Amino acid sequence: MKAVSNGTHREIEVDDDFGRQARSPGALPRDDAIERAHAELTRLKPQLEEHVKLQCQQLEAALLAARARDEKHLVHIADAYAASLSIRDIADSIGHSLVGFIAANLCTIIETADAAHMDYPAAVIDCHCDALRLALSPPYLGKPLRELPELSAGLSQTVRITKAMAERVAAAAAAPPAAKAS
Amino acid sequence: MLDTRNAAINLAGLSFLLVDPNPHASTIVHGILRGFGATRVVEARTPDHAIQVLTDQKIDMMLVDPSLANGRGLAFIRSIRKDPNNPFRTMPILVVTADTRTSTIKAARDCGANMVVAKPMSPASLYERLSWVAFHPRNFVETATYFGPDRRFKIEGLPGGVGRRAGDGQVAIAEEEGPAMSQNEIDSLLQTAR
Repeated sequence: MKAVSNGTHREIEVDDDFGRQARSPGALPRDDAIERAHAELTRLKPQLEEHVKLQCQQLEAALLAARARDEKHLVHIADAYAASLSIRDIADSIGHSLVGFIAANLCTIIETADAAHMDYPAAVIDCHCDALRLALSPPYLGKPLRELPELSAGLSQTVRITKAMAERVAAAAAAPPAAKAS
Repeated sequence: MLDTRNAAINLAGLSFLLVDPNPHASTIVHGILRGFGATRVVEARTPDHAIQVLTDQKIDMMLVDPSLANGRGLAFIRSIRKDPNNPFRTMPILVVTADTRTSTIKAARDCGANMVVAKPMSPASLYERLSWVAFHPRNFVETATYFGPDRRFKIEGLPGGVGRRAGDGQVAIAEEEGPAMSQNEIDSLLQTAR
């Protein structure tokens, strides 16, 4: 490693093992490597599908339970968030782009509400619950997101509304007391 | 700049450590790397497990999900980068995350990660980033508050011939028409690709 220092910072030239080996001859051609990776994902698909299916059931149950707005509401939302995180990381990679999109939206909505210390937007979450039930029904299961532009645009709009609400809540919280009173 | 869009990368014999609390998400990355020809891929679910692996084995690249250990994944990367005695201090580290908010991407950059790969990832997007790390190595920079790859991507020229580095080249560009963008505006243009 070579290093050059100018007083405020030091710059170090690094030639790591990863770079040296990755640049060495004997590599699989790029397209072959990508094709083989897709084949690996196809091989893994049944086990991942089973997991996504189970997480979707848990997510749907948590969202339906959350509709009751009872004393366990926060627990149901936490359960929904955990299931959404798990689905978000995986679903799209195995071709369930609609379910993955809904889960990603739910993560964003819950994270946004938490960050703004505001109530979870019930109508927006209910809307995603309905969308999830639709996505899991036979005509929609496995349907790519690009074939459902109106649904995805509508759901995206509700996320934007949630973010706008959070910004208003944050601005109100940051306003001086006199401004709040008026 | 070297065009590496079709460059092949040789992963045979390299060791990868995947640090992800979600075993199923980890399985996907593991499968993709094996498809690329990687022969040694180790998985860890917690920072403690990852440290144990790094103590026992030679690892050439690490991929970390920042949601690790209740959001302490980036702190884990920073702890490796800031320790002058850590043999893995300059190892390439990729952040793999489904959370692509600008604040998360900036935090990943500032903790010393080489690259951010958005989840869910496609084989092509991961290949492109591995290729970038291999063929465009960046110097490491050490300051009072940062140790990691140079966060400035090399530029080909600036208005008025003002270069930020001796190695920056000159290119013909149009006259300036308005105020320059602020760093925040520039940062907002840096998006991760799926």
